[in-house]
Amino acid sequence: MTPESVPRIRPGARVSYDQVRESAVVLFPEGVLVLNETAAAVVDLCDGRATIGDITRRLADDFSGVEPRDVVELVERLVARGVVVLDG
Amino acid sequence: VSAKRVWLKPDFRD
Repeated sequence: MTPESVPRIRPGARVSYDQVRESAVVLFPEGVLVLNETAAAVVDLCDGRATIGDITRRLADDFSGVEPRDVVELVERLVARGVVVLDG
Repeated sequence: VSAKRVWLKPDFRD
């Protein structure tokens, strides 16, 4: 993965909001991921157009102290989990 | 007052 990689939610998975847990979740046929606030912010930006670099810069508009390495690690975990695919 | 939220390490429960 490079800063120019473009992540997107894979077909068959969707992001929703769990009102009981007050958390964003990714629903997919094999399971459910319950996201914390910053993971939800990253996933929201995985629109198939923004690069990893774009996502990190946009997060810095809303959060102080964004760690680019954290963004990369999360996307890598989501790819490994099969809910995000990378273009580019 | 900063309008920005504090960055916490992103995580999820599987």
